[in-house]
Amino acid sequence: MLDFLINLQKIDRRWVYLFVFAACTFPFAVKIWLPLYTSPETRGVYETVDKCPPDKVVLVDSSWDAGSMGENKGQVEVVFDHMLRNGTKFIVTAQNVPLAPQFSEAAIEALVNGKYKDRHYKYGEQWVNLGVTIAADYIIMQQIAQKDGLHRQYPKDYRGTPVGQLPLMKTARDLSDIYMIHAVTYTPSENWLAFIHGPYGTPITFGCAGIQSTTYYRYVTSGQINGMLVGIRGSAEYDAMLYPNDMKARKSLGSRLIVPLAFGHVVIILAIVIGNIGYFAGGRRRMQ
Amino acid sequence: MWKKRLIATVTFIAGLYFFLEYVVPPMVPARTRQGVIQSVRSAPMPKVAKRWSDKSGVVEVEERTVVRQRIDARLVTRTVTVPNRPGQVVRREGEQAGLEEVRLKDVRAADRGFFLSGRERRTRGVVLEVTRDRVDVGVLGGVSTIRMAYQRIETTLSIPIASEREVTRTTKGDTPERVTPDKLKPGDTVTFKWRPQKGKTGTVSKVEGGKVLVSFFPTVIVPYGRLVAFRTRSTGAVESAAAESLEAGELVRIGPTTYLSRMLASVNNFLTVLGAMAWGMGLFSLWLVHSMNIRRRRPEWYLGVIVFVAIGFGAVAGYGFGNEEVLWARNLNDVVFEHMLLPMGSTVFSLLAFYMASAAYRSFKAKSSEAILMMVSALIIMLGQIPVGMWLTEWLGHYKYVDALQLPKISQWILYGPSSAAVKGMWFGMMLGAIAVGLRFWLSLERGAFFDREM
Repeated sequence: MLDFLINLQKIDRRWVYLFVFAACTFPFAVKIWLPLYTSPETRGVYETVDKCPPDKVVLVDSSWDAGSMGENKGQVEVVFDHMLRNGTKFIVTAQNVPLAPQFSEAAIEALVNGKYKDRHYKYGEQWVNLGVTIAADYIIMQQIAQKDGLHRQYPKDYRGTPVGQLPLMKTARDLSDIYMIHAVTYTPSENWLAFIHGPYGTPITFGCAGIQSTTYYRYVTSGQINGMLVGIRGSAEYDAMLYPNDMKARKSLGSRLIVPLAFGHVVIILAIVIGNIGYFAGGRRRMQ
Repeated sequence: MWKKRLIATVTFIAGLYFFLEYVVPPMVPARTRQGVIQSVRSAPMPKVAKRWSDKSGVVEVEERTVVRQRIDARLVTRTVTVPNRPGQVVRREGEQAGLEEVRLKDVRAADRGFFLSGRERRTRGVVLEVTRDRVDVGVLGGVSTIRMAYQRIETTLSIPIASEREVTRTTKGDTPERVTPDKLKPGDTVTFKWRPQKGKTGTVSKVEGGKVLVSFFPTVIVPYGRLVAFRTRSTGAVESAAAESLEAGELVRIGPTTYLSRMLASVNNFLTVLGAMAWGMGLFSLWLVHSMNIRRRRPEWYLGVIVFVAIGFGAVAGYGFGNEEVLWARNLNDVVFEHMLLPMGSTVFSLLAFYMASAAYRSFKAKSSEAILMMVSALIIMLGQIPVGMWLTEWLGHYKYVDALQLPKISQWILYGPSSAAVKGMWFGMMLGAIAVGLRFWLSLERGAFFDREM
């Protein structure tokens, strides 16, 4: 028996890989529901987006691509969903991630042509995708804070249209027209706080990878960011706040991945526990 | 030796700056007032400060100091919490003058008036927050009024209509055009290409007396009397607020700022300039290092060739981004970014899940008391971050005093409290270290572990 327990810390890593794979794919085959807790940081993002006045726009800095799509896609999907539901106008930008604009565009198009088809939202009036800028992020931030900064920094949008020709951009010219900034990337830049929130007071919210979130909680506690969407959990919680009583309406990537993520975590927790049982059994053998 | 002393001194000053900027309150405590804004009045009071002409006498420039904002706030001496009994009648200041009787359930944030309850009978104040079980009322002192004025400098320039010097006119939605002053109309936005207002953008205010008067967008906004304001948001968080954005009913703290807070904009600008130069220097350095490696056939010189080929390839592919006219460039862009970079990124990141599971299994062992502490907190955090944690401890929510033991709540406490504090301390140390390392680079002390060898 003791030998069996000792051998628990020597399981071949390929078995661990197999269990992780099985745990993550099983919930896609069998529909499972688990209760969600709504964290204050997610509630902060929801409440900030919800309070956007009709004469202002929201800037979504969506700088992610296939690498962090699993965590970041849901974080922009739910905010786009919320803004389209409220009729809030928004601008999408990206920094230093060449493939980011096409992912954001696909997420918006899916909502506009699906859930909100009957509202007949039009590009250029309801939202604008300004594409990607490759430069140091704080230079871009300083630029958009200047008078007519958005027009100077982004003379053309993602589709190549001069921004002056887009109806939305006639009213959204610089930072003074922006109500809040939702920065979504694997590790959102703290320069948003130094260059935008500090000097101008514009509310900032973050969407980040779960593994990076511990570095950003200090900004939530200090009140420098209004809220934060943490990994897949953040978008699933936001989706649950958007549709509290309608499970079928929760279609963001976060809502679809939260149960597989939970199962994956359970496998890791079990692996740690099993490894430690083996470790303690080995210690007992050494004492004998 | 002087270099080491310089590094120590600058690092100390940087630490002092951090202490003053982030640990010491941004406003002088004894002279800071907290209050609810009673009114915001726009009271322009123009005052001519300066007038001059350029050497040729072509233009006349006038600079005016204009007081734009006057904000009055009354001192809030304390906050009183009234139990929220929905049926209770309170007296509220109505739309018209006088008080109206309303049920407590109809009270909203920013309402003013008398709130009658227990010991706080005849408590006059402003409702700060209404929750299910309580109403927070900011009690107004009613004696202290804060006045806050902001000034900005506006500049007016007059150009003779007959002048042949061209300016750039920007009309909404159109491309900019160069025009002579006689074509300008009031409301036009113009940019000057010549001194004394080179590069500045203004608006034509009027055309009269053979002259075009152009007002420039205000370039300087400075707090009058070194006052800064911090606003309390509905979530309870505090944010710095510009005078223009303050509105009546907002809970604010206004006071004289500490000296260093005012330097924030200058420090940011310096960092931007430095960063822009660093990009250029980085590219130059990359070229220098790799070209030298190739020329001298140093070990692994072929990697330098790959760097240059990759840069060239990426630049050509980038040319095709959104380029509908040059089809081959667009196809190359698709191949590089969509068919190579995208799947490679997905693959690398998805492998992480498997490696992390394997690493956690092999290395997370309770070998010491510190390791046990870390493992227990890691397990709580992991369970708290997923719905399984809620599923396991949801039943605790039905009991009044143990609901705080739900796994997501414990996880949240760890992240908001101990973890945040540790991260703050760690970053403080890292930033001071970064300053010292930066100075070592500047002073050519970059070799060696700790100043052991000077170049």
